[in-house]
Amino acid sequence: MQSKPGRENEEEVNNHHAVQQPMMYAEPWWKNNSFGVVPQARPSGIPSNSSSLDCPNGSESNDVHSASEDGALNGENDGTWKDSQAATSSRSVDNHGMEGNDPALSIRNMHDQPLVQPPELVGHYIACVPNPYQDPYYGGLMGAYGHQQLGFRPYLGMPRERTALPLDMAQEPVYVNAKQYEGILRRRKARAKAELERKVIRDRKPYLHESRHKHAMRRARASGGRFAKKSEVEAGEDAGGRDRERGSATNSSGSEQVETDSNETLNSSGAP
Amino acid sequence: MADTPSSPAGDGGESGGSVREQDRYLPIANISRIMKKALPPNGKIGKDAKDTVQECVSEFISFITSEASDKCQKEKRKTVNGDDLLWAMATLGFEDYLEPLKIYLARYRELEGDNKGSGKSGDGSNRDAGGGVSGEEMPSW
Repeated sequence: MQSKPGRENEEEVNNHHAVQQPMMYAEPWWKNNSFGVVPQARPSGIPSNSSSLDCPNGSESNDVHSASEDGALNGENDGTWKDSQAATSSRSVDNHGMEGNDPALSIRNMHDQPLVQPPELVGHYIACVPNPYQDPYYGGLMGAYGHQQLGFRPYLGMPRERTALPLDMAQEPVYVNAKQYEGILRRRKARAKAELERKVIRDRKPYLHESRHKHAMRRARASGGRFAKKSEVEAGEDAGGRDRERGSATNSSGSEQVETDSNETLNSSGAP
Repeated sequence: MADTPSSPAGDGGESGGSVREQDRYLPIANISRIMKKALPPNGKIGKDAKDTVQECVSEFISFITSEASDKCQKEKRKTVNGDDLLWAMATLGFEDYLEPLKIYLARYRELEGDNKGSGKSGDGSNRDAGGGVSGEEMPSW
């Protein structure tokens, strides 16, 4: 009795979440593009960043970023060789960053120890912000990577019009755990890639399994379109089927999927 | 999700090889159950809280796994095992997780045996995070 309403609420959450997901993922993608736009604005911003940073830490962080940029570019080329080169260069960067940032790392470790999960939250936001660090160095490497930048600009032409506001947010530098820097960059690429794939495959199948879809369509529905409760169902066979589903955890997960399918069908019916 | 389909032959074609929402996030019902265990009996969880935790834990898993996958690719190995995940956590600054997870992994391998241990170590770490919800986690995967 009580468990079913809970599941239905959770399914509503799933549907609601489905609505939210593209929005939540669209933002970092736009921020990435906006950071791509930044290199033009960043040349003026670089001196302010350097002034804000401490001299030794600033120089070390610059080295780390420049090397990581090389790694990022190699990764973007998507070659096995280049990936290995990126890996080796990234490792050297790790060593340098580790040595140079020992005091900072100790401070960050102090922060990380009490708060294990918040670093991940911070990682999410940082995943967008580190872009400005990459782009100015791309600007600095104009001679070497002019072609790639030319390739980037047409992609960023459209986002420029859309993402004027995030530029203000991009100006704020955010510092991350040096150990996680490359991981965050890697995840940013993976998410952007997944986002592109999601754009290509937007037509989502309403259900995963034909048989379960048919079963859900056969179930009796009460007012409001939800499945009728057990007490309202008069047929004994239906009750027997539900008992079977409740019997094992596997079936319960299956029933959850069935209900999810029914919600999707409801959404599809609601659309027209 | 991939383990669940025990459907007839007709449903075989439904599984599309693409990045789907089911593959990107953990099932929110299971996450909700885990979160409820930390609440008093009359406590409730808002939808935004569930969605936020769902995205956080899913991203955390991808973060750790991609680091471990990088190491396996460098060493030209195809299977990511529990030790790789522990190494990845240490590399990313999550050293505090290592001690409890090593204990968990050792006990898990004793119970499951060597063959299955390497394949299901990822589930093991998730179970540890779930605080003993292993029975419910397995069917959803």
